[in-house]
Amino acid sequence: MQPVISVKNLTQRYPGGRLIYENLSFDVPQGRILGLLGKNGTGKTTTINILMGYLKPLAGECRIFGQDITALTPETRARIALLIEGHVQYAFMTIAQIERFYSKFYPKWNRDAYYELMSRLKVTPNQKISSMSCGQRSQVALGLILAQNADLLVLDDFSLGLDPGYRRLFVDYLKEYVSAEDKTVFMTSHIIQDMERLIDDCIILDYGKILTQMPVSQLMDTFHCYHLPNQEHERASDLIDNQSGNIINPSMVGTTLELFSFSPKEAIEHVFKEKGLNSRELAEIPMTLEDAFIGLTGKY
Amino acid sequence: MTQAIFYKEWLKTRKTFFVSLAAALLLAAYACLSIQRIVVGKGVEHVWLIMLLKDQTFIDILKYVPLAIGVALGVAQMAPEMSHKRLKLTLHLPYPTNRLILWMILLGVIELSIIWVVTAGAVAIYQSTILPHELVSRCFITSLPWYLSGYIAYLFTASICLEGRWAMRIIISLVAMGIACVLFMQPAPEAYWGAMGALILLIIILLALPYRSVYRFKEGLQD
Amino acid sequence: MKTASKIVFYLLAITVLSWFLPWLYSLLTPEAKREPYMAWSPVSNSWVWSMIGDDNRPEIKTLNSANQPDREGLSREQRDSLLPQTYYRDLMAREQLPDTIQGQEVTVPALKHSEVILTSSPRDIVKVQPNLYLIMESMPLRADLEDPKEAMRMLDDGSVEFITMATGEVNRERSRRFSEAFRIAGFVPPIHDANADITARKQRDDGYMLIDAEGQLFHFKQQAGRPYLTKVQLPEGVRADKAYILEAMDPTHVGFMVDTEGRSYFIDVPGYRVRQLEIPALNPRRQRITMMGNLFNIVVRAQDASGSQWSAIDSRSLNRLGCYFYPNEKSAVDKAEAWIFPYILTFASTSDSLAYPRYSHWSWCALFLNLVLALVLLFTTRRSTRIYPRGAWIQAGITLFLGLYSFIPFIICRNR
Repeated sequence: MQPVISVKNLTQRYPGGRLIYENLSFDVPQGRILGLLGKNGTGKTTTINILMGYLKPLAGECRIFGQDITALTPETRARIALLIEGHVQYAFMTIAQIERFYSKFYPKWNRDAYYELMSRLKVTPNQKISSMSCGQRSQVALGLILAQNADLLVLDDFSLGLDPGYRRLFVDYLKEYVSAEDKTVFMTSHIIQDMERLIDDCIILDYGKILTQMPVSQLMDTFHCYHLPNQEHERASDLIDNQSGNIINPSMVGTTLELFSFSPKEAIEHVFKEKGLNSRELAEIPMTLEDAFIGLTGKY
Repeated sequence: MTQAIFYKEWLKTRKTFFVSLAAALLLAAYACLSIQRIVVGKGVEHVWLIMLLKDQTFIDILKYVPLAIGVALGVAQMAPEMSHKRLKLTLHLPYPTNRLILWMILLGVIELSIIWVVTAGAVAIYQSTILPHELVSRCFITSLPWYLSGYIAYLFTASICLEGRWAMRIIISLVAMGIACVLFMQPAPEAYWGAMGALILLIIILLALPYRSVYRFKEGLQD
Repeated sequence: MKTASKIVFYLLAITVLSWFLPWLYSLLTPEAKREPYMAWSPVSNSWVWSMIGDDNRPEIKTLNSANQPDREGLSREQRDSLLPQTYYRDLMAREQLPDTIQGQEVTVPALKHSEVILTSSPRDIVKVQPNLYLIMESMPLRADLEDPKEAMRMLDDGSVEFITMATGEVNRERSRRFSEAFRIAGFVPPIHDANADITARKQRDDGYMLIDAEGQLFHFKQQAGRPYLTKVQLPEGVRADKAYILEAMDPTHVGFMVDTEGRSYFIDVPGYRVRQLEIPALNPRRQRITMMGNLFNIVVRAQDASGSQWSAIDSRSLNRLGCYFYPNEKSAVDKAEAWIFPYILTFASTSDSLAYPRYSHWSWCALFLNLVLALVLLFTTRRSTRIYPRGAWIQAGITLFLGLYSFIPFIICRNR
């Protein structure tokens, strides 16, 4: 089946010339939720801007529903719901006005879905969006996306500026909606713990390159965090300085050596043995997606 | 959908529209009052004499009003599109982009036209109670380039607001100032009558300028 | 639309610069243009030439028959003696006013009585004028003239309407009477030119000199509420283009007229005789014209961009006494301008009251600079992109013709 989003050999640089990524390729199949993860400035929003046609890439080809993104027809755009970073909406409108406005554009508009979510907000229909809190605004944006009933949801950093309660509300609503309706989602966020509850696949970006690209379940199965307590700094530093191919981001946390790897425990123990380190106390530590993300990208 | 586009633009501009209309009418009333003061003090003949011999029109106070209104309406309509890059939302609407921009601009042009017709109409109605049609039309023709400058100011302001880069905004502003200077350099009554065709042509080709800003925005040319 | 919007932007930028840069250039290179003041001496029968020198002192000379200045400069006293028609007050104070000059008795009343002054500027002629003519009463009941109370408009059929300004109502009786006068006089509508001096602060009102659509000249005024309209019999083949009412102390010269060929004439009463002045062709729509007449001679100055043409004629015979042309020579600043700007765009002019785009001064010399700028565009593009893209060739090609005007926007907007 044709993927909903297809990106091939995408290359982009910042205006100053710094490479964001080179030859980025990925597909988002229908019904999947893909999270694009990365630290600030790794090109998450840039990718969304390219996908939505607000930025011309240096090279590469992007297609959504089989159409080149530089020439998306209005009919295709109607199938895509877009959430802009910061839940930006037409702030000069009230919640009633904005519903009236958008409803004219989308043939599958679900007015009830919007007003159901709005009823949870302590706002009047004539309150302007500009006078709402960031959390309330996020609910308006979410309500509009749900009402639009689009086939593809593109969400740029939905967690920005939201407190934990609103973040959870947003995620729960979205998760239920997406799984019930077989929607496809392409999203970014800098708060990884929200993503864990939501995404099927992830792409983790680092500065100038892609670190990994796989289903979250596969990542959590194959990527490990190991701790080796009671280490002297001097001895561990040799490992830190000369990390081998299968050891990622080793660091000292107090006297404990922390390291990450896609290799099983035996392979790590073998490396330790080669380096002359005692690996008797080496233990695998359970991880969240956020831990895995930090393990891959480093703490700073 | 077209109706919805007009609705959104109207929501953005309605306050500026009514304030501008009120301001223009107030200034038009002031211009009429200044004529009336002469009528009461020295008689209508004096107004005729000054208009015919001194090339005065008594409506100079309205000279830069359309220009200011054009700028105000352009800012009111287009600045919200650019704050937080809301233009992305607009361009994402399932509607042909070129037509969408055209309707946005058209609404601004319609609102300006309403203000011009009401203001110029109010002045003309008052003047026709004391002046012959030759002088009424002389005042109107003299003020025509001022009104046209309002459209020009609006279109330039829209282009400047929709432009994503400050350097280019400054460049467009300089070009706009140059064009505006040309429209106000000859104060003689009816001086621009012969150039009216060229001015209307200028406004028609200026309609393309906001498109340039939008295309640049879509290419990612933003600060 | 994308290309069109780009073209529109550059078109606007080039248009603005084509006007702004030459304007800025002339603003930054101010020049004091000096011109001589010329008068014809009835005493020496020669031009008296005076000009303010660099030291701010007047330099006064007489010109010989070949219009060359005499080597000896004149003092102010000598000048006064040569020009008694102008400086008679100083001469009287020094008791040097001659009794007769050229056999004519010289008295102060005679000198004052003979003064004729006319000034005409293209700005006052080349402008849009309403079809309304203020009509004064030339024979008021009281001694003093009064401001007009009525205005006249001419309708398409040649009839006229008199409007009472105070009420805006048409004075039907007067309109009928005046329409009849226009019909009888054979006036062909619309009015091609009308000239009057509408003010109560003058000795006498002579009304209007009117020219109709066929170039016929009329003298028109209102006397005791009745029309006075006389057609002036012009010589065969003469078509009036611009006429002036003079209202000089001496009522002989009632009007001055320039025909379509630039020949000029006095209209003299009685009899509305048309007397041609022996002076070079005038063009009131392009030239500033000043006429100063006195007991002995009339000096006409016609000034335009090329320079000033001075002509002196005899007051009585209107025969030519002398002509002098002072050219408006191009300065180094003007010459440099031709090397910088390929053409100049202006919208207003000092010689009319209209605004429209005027393209002028195409300069081949500027092509050298244009070529350099076009090459700069090409080479700078190559330096940054390592190739010569099609756009760079187009920009260079345009700059070859438009020079600085297109170079500046192309270079500034690159990569922006």
